[in-house]
Amino acid sequence: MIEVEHLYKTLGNNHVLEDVNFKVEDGKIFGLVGINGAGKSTLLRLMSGVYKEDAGKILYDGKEVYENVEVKKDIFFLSDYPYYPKNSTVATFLDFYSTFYDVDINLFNKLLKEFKLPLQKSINNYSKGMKRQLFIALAIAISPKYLLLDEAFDGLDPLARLIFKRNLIKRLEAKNMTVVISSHSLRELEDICDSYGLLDNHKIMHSGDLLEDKENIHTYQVAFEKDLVKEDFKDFNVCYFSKLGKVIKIVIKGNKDEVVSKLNKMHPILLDVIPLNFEEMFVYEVEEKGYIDHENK
Amino acid sequence: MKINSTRYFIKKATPYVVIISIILILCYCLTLLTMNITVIKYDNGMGVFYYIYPSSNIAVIIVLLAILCFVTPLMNCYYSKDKNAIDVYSALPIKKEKLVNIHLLVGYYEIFVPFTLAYFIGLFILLFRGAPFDMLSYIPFYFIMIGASIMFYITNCFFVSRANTMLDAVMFELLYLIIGSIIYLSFSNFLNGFGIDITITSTFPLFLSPIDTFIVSGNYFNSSLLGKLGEAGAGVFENYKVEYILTYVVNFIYAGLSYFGIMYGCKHDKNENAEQRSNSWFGYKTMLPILLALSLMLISVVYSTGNIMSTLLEYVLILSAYVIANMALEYRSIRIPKSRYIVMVCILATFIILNSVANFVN
Repeated sequence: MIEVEHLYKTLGNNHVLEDVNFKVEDGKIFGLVGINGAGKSTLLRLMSGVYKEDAGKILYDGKEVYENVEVKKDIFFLSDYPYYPKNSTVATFLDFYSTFYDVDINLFNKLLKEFKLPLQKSINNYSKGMKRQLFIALAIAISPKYLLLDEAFDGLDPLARLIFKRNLIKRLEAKNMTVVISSHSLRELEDICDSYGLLDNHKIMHSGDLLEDKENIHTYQVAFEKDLVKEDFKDFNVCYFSKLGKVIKIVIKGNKDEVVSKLNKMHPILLDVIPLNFEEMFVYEVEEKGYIDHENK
Repeated sequence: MKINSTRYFIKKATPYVVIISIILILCYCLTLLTMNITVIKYDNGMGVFYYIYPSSNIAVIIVLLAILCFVTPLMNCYYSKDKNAIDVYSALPIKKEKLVNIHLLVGYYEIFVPFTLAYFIGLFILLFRGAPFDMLSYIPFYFIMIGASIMFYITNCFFVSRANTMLDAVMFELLYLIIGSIIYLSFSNFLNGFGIDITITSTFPLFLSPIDTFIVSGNYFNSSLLGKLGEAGAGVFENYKVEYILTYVVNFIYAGLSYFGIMYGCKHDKNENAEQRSNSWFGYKTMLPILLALSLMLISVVYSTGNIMSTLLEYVLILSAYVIANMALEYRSIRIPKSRYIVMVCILATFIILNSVANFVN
């Protein structure tokens, strides 16, 4: 289990993380989301032992990670701009990583074939997406106990994303891996994540089970005989309100049945419940914090 | 399929070692193959004979070795000056100290092999050509140069480790090459103004510089190798003996402190500083004010023409150079903190007071 407790980190004069707390259970995929500059990459660097925390603890099965070789043996960190030795080919690239990690060479080669990567070409000449595919193949072939992925879907085409997700899930089941993955591709995260954390204002503003949370927020499309305004819904936990003619689109947090029951008491002439996807959930969360206004959404 | 990490880095460095070896062998051995090795005797026309003695050209391999010791730390520190590389290297399941020691070792392997090959192939060429030098001296000189190169290499590694970018790493190495000599030169000249003579060595004011072992070795080895030829080498060693011992001791201390500094730094340096401004106390922060003070001492005491206008111009030039160096090197911005100007004014004021005292004493 990964436990992050009261984590603080300052870079220069910038307080990047302040009192960050969350847990990731073994065998789960944890999605780390947040706007640009929220501190996701810094958090992953701290979790991989690249940076030393200013205060707080990052524990893997109760052991701290920074300068702890025993813990690091179980972790593989794939950063947003992963490094490879200059003028590497796939063979020399593999040489480097297999010096430090147990790489399943057969699986690595199989994944390279799936991604259709040219093996003889210098990695310098790979496109951004091809480099990402190479590193993803490596990460899956290492199958560490803890896999930390920063911007994992960045640069991947839809087919590569599918191959990645399918293989990650397979290895997760086979090896009981725990994955922490940051990405802006929330639709992709939604497919694979069990839980998530929303990093905002230097801390994890919200974390929880993705399915449970999705059950707890919905879009309600309603219409009434009377001309209602936003203030008429003050008893609800409203995240978003818009009105077009008599039709009101309103996003409300809370148990669906309870919300529907309360809305029915207002005698609507129309009531539709539309589930939200992860991306919409994220947008409404950050909108609540004031990052997006209605016009820009 | 995990293999030993030292073996991996040695294997990775080997193609580079081969290329450097070929370059060194070509440079040194071509010099030895084409140089004159005979003593030329000529008559000045009045019955007096003069001799022109050949040079051993051992300075060529010493210069090449010094260049390698300067460049190799830069080549081997890439991983600590690149944000992307540091993400990978710091996340590896290996102790920082071990990784640093492996890179130090592999770096010296990149120096040792090319130097040794070129040196001994060169020796065989000289033997084959029947050069009239003291060939046995080549063996102890080899070991002396190995010692000198380890010391110079470790010292350079330390200066490089204090920088956060490659450009700063080069600048720190260069600054430390000259700063020792300038300290010596400036102080000896400045104190001369008070009638105090601190001349220790044979007029060559480099003994505080990490490169001095190499410079003195070139002169000393050449004279020793020619010693067999009579007067060519006579007395030269005596001229350099004190400086040679001093510089070896100074460099031994530098290397010891440097290794300690490297190990201390690798435990305490923050990885997030890679590619950021280098704000080490061993860097611009200290070096630029020292250089400012030394330059003021040097220019005004040694080279001043006595003309008030030209002296003022010298002051303006030095102060401008200090400000520009702060902007260009340390802060990479036109705006530099007020503290740097305050330091400049304090140094200038101290210097003017001391200079006035010197003039009063005289």
